[in-house]
Amino acid sequence: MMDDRGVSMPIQYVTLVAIVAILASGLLVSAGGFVTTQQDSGVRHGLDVAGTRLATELVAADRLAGSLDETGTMELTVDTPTRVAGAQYLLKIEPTATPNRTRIRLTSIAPSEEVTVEIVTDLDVQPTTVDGGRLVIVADAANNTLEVHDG
Amino acid sequence: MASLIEHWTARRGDRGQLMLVTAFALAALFILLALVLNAVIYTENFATRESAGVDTIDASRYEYVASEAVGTAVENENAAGNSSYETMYDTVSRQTVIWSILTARHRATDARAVSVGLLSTTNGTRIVQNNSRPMTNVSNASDWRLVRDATAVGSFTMTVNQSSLVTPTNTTNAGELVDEGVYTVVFDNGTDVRQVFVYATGTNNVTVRVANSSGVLSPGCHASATGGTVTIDFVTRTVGGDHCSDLDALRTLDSPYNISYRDGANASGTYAVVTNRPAIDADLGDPDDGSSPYGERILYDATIEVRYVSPTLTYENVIRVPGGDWA
Repeated sequence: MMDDRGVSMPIQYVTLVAIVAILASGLLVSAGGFVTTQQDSGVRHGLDVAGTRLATELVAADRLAGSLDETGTMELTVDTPTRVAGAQYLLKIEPTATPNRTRIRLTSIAPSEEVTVEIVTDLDVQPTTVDGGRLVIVADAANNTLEVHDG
Repeated sequence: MASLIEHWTARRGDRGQLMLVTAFALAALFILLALVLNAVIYTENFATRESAGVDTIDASRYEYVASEAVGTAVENENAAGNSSYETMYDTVSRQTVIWSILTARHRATDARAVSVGLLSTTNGTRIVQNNSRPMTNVSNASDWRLVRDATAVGSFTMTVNQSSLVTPTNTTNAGELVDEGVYTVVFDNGTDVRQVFVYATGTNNVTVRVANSSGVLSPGCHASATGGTVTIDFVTRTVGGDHCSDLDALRTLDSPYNISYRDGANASGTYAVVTNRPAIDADLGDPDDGSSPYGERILYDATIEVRYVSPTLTYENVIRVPGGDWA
């Protein structure tokens, strides 16, 4: 009992609890941070894959629709992931300053991430915003444009 | 003191709640991490799935093969001889249906519905002089019309004998060449005219010059005769195999137009013209009795409808297929 002398029990107890709390919270914060980083990176990766997939299909559709007669029709169904790493996202198709160059801007809602993919097409792609999931690319042969709808 | 020690010892079993809570929180975080990693693996799997765009390649390939098949059927009909337009249309239509059914059966095995159908054909004429003789009509008239109201000329090649051509002395304007009886191919749409003069220069050269409506002559294209002849292509615009920019003036003539020969007696050779007009004038002979030049019925082009349906792609297009080696 010589070691306990000069230190009251409450102080010893509080000190112990404090040290354990600091260590535990440190561990939780770092592990939580790691998981959050991984999730963000997973979402970005998912957005990148979804954007690249839509870009590939749009370019393929453009190649086929380029030779359409005025009465011709083309509808291509494209599957993009409904969610990326658990996050919902939007695909916004917008024109760029360069003619025939279209930007696909993918934005996830929580966590908030953004990825852009640019494509070059012969036909103009109509600006629109759609949710991730099943999409349909429709060619408008009379106006020489491509449209993307929710499928 | 003793009571405190007892109290302390008695509470030993309760210690460690904080550690336990931390452990649970960490476990939850690791589960979350596992879920994120799972999502990433799913994304990777998704990224390697076959693109729906593969069907677009398949559809354009089918369209190409269908146009080749119908094109071959039309070419065979055109080569077979001077049938009636109705007979040729019926044959091509029947062959198209057979081809469509065969390919549809074949593609049904991999869940593709395909079809091709003949919508229409354009009745055309091929005018041919394949034995070397003066550029006159079948009754030896020197000034005559080959083609009337053509909106398209698929091919027009001519091989002239250099020695048969006039060698004019005055070549400053179109009027002088006409006066000297130079052989001329006249393209005329009623308001605008292009006169293509073909004459000999020197001992072995052929000159081609084009005059517009006001009679102004182009500088001229020259070619030396090989084996006594020079070939002129009015569609690809070459003289003796070399591009002749003077003939570019023909492209600015609005259709429909007529094609006539003037002073055809002052040139001899062979030629073949393909147009999208069904008219065969009395100036032309019958191909079956060996007369020259003759006109025969051909299908200038065909219009087909191609359909391709797969689980991800619905494609329908109407395309024009030329009936021979013309565009």
